[in-house]
Amino acid sequence: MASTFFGLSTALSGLVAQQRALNTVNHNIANANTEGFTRQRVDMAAAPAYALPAYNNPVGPGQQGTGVVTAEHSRLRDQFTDLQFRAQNAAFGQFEARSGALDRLNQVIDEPGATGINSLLGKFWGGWQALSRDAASPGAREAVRAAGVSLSEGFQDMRAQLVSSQTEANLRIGETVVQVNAAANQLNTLNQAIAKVTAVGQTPNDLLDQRDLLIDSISKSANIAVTTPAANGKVSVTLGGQLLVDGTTDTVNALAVSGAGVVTVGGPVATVTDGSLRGQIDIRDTVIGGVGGYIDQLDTLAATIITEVNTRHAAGFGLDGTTGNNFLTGTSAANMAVDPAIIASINKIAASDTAANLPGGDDNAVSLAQLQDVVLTIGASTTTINGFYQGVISRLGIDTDQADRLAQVQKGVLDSAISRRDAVSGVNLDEEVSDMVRFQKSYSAAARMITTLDDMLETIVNRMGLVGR
Amino acid sequence: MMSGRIGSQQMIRNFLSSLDINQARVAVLQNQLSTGKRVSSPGDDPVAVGRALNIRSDQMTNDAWKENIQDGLGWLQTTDASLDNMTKIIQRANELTVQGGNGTLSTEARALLSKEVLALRDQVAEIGNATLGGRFLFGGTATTTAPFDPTVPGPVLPYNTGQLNREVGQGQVIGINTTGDRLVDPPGATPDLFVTLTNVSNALLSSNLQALSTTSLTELKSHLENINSLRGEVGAKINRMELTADRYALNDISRAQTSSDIEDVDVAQAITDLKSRESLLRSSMAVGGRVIQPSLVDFLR
Repeated sequence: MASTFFGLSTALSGLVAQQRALNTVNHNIANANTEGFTRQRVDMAAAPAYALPAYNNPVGPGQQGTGVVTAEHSRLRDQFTDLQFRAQNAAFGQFEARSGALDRLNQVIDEPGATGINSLLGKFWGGWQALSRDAASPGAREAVRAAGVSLSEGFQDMRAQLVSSQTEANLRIGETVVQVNAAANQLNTLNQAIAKVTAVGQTPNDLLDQRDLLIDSISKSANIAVTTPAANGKVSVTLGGQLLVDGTTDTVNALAVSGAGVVTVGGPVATVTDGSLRGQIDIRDTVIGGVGGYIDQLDTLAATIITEVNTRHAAGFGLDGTTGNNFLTGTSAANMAVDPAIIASINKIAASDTAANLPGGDDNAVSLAQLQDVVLTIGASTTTINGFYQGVISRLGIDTDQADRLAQVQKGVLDSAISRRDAVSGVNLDEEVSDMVRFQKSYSAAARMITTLDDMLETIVNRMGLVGR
Repeated sequence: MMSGRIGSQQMIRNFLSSLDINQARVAVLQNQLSTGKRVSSPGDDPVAVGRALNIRSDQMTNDAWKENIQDGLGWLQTTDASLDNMTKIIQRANELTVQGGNGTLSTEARALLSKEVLALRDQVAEIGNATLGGRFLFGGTATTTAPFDPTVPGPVLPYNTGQLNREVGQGQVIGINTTGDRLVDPPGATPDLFVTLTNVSNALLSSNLQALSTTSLTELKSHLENINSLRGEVGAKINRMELTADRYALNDISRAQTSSDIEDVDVAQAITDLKSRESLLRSSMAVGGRVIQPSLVDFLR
């Protein structure tokens, strides 16, 4: 037989449980817009029934319920959606970094435009044609020199733009490394905080959220892998196959990227295949820089122009009768310029093919103008000078277009991964509000239960046994 | 996207991401319409940009060739005019020679004819020293000094036989000048035109009728043929250049058309696209306004 006051404790357990649930609803609503927040739920269970089987257990019709206990504050998170999100986040990070850098490059290169190298090349060849029309004319000579100066400056400008894009990518690599290392250190601290709470048998839901958010942020920078939490709640994170945060020893290995694009984590080389780090390193070391990069191609083209123009120019004779003069100096797009001797005197410009044909001889000017149609071996291609440059620009266009498309596609994939995760972990305000009503009603009912029990006690304590008084 | 449970943030995120896409598309179309260009950077359409650059290069090359042709035509036409004058001079000399060969003419009359022949000789030098834009037509590549002196037979130094060339197409180089030696010294045994005219003048003075009616007439005829053949050569070059110029003019039109097709925006198409994108943008905003605003809170008392 249960005690007279048995019902009071049952009702109290109800009050306490509903209150906890209401507080959790409150917490969820408050964090509805908190990044990385995972909705929580109070898991309720019926308390052990009265009475338990025993030698001298009370005789009765059966077991009677004793109310509710809150088993756990659970965190509604699906680890699988996290894995998907992080994999897609890394891929998105890579293409976003790539397309961002290429888009900026597209904007600074004036192609197709009036001041791009394509136009400058056209004006340069046109200058030689004009000189061939009037070889002795100082005006035509000035014009061809000016076209040479513009072309050289065009090459220098474009190279400077490319170098500045490369420098920017380098700065971004530095920023990313700093961010990842800072996140890794925070993660290590959180690991230890989580272990302290876990040790006393509780689940540190909000700390876990913070840790997952940090892992998410690292996942955008590179391909990472996270171990399943150990019994003490700690996780280890590897970046490109190397331990970044070691949960077993509470140590952090610093991420570093060398000037040659080698990524190391605490010394050993990491294989970074994804993430913004990969995108930025690719931009810096293979797309813009490196062998076959834009800078390399521009330099190759400039060197070819310098050599070919000089070879043809040196074969001719200037108005002053000198021969063997160079028209251009330099070895690459960085230092391409019109030869100082030409700058000093337009009479050194060799329009005539022989000394005998001075001053009207124009064969060498014609020969220089014809250079534009000559198919040359430039780098790995066999093409004309204009054709090679157009190839470089087309490649930039294709690279940009491709990176943009991939970034867009990857954004869609990432969005759907976020949606899948949100479907499990996101706070739905309507759901919370209806829960709020639900728990509030239960709370009221439990309170009413106490009033009822109070009434019952009143009956037996104050009004019973008064017959005949 | 379809899932049982939808987070509140998720709805906003979905709305924002579709709004972003629509806004970006509208921005692209607006930019195209305001610039009139479909491609403004290589990434917009790499293939089109490659072709556009190619067409621009071709255009600039063709422009240079067209200018070369114009300049060459000027040169050749002036040459032709000079050759025409030369023909007239030789014909006049021929008339005078025939006239002087007439035995009934008095010695005084022949002396007068002799003077006129000498004047013709001076004119030959004048024609040989014709210029275009300050450059001597018949001086070879020595374009800054006069190639002829009436008192000296043949062209005088620094005259040379260098060719002035104009590129009028890929690999097509046309020599545009006729050198002075070819003008006055026909192939074969015939002497220089100055020598011929001097001889005619001397024969007239000395009334050498034999020389006038045989050697001189033969020599003048040979000079006339020489000039005619030069004119034929110049005329052929003029023809060739004019034909090429016509071809380039046609190319220009088709190239401008292609370039416009590649680079310019199709306004009607772009405006239609803009309108439809705009309505998409509006509807996604309207949906956002409806979906985001109400929550259960609005309906609970």
